[in-house]
Amino acid sequence: MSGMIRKEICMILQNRKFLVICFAIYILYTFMFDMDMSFYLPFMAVMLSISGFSYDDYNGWQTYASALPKGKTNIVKAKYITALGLMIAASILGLVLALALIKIKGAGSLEESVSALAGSIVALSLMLAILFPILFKYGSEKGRMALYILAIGIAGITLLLTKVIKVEISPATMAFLESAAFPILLIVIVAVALGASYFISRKIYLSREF
Amino acid sequence: MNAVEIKNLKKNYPNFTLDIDELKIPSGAVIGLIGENGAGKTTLIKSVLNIIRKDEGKIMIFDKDLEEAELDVKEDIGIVLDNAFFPELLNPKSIDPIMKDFYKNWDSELFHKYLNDFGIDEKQSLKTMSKGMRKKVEIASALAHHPRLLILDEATSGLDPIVRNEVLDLFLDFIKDEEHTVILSTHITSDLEHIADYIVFINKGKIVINEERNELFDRYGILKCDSEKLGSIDKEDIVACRENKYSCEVLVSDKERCREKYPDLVIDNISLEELMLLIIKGGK
Repeated sequence: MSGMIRKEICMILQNRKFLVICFAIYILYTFMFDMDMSFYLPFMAVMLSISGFSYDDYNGWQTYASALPKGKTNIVKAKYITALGLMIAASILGLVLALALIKIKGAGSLEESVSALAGSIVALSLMLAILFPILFKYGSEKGRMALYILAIGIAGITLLLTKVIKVEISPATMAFLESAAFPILLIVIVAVALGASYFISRKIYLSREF
Repeated sequence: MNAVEIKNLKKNYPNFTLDIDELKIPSGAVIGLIGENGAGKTTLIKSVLNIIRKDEGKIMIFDKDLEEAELDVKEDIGIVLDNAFFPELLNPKSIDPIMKDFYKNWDSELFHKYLNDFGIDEKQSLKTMSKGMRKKVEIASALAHHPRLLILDEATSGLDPIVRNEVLDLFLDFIKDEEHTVILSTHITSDLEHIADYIVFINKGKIVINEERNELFDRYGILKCDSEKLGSIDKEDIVACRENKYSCEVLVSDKERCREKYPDLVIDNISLEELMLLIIKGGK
């Protein structure tokens, strides 16, 4: 399976010039406006992982890989491991930059940065958990549509809850959100969602015809 | 030993059914798979690679059941598929370590040797390569794990005659020791006339001809006459017939017997292209 992961990473590295430019702009903005945008890096990493599906579809890679020994199961495993691995690596990088911003310019706080990054990781992991089975089932074109629908759906629900229904967070809920149990609950939810997503994707992919 | 043995294979699609009663592909031979687009060649190849699910039947590869021993069997197969390979962003240098992970017997040295022999720059991305160069990388990738069976779907299409010749020589070299087998599906029938030992002709999902190449060319012939003389030919001698404005072309399956039976009619040797055309487009 390391070969499959290597292939995913090789493909991402082929766009390294673009990535370096994006990263340079990101650093420039961070230090120019004293703004911690570390949550943006894991988002970019996940988008890169998703874009890999388009390249695969375009070149018939999935058909080719399925014809190789252990091809089908390794494709699924590698996609999940690469996406999560990149997301974590990007988060660490984001945290390092946030620390640099605090140290060099005294802007932002470590607590806020960690919260923002953790929130991004949870949201992106849940997005991956929903999106990957769709991408494995329907390919990149329809998968992209699902991504848009997901993004619009989340924005719509948030808007509905905050502006229309005007849901207010009770003191008890607030206390729970601030307690140590909340992050643990989130970790469990993310782990279960990703695990279920992986098994669904694997099942879909093993029965898919090319 | 047979490299591939297929029995009662059925694969149903809404508008098409692949229905192969029996197909035995002997080791040490080049098998040419011909047929028009949509005839079932690729479906047959995909069934042998187990990337589509068959509805019925049994496929044995080197005496092993494909479903039971898929991983083992695939170690022995090299593939070049039509429009399916590594993403174009990659280059041959990056393909090598990836393939090493798929095949136990992957031979990096051999892969680099093939690339070198083909004159491929390993650092050049697939995207910037010509179609011929890309095909060569695909062929090197198919050969570098010492497969016993090479399955090639349109591996020579889009190549210029010189490269095609080089590639065909490579396939001939591959089967030299009689333990290796090549299944070559192509529309370029002239290639098969040169290198194929057996011809398997698929039409509308069924095998209509499965014969040794020399025997096929010895037996089949094309009889050319006008429509008046066509009436004098026994129906049982006609495999297929195609009439145009001024003449008729009749496919006969026993050329020598027909030459004796109809001495005043001209019976020519047939090419694979003519054979295909007559069977697909001709009537009885």
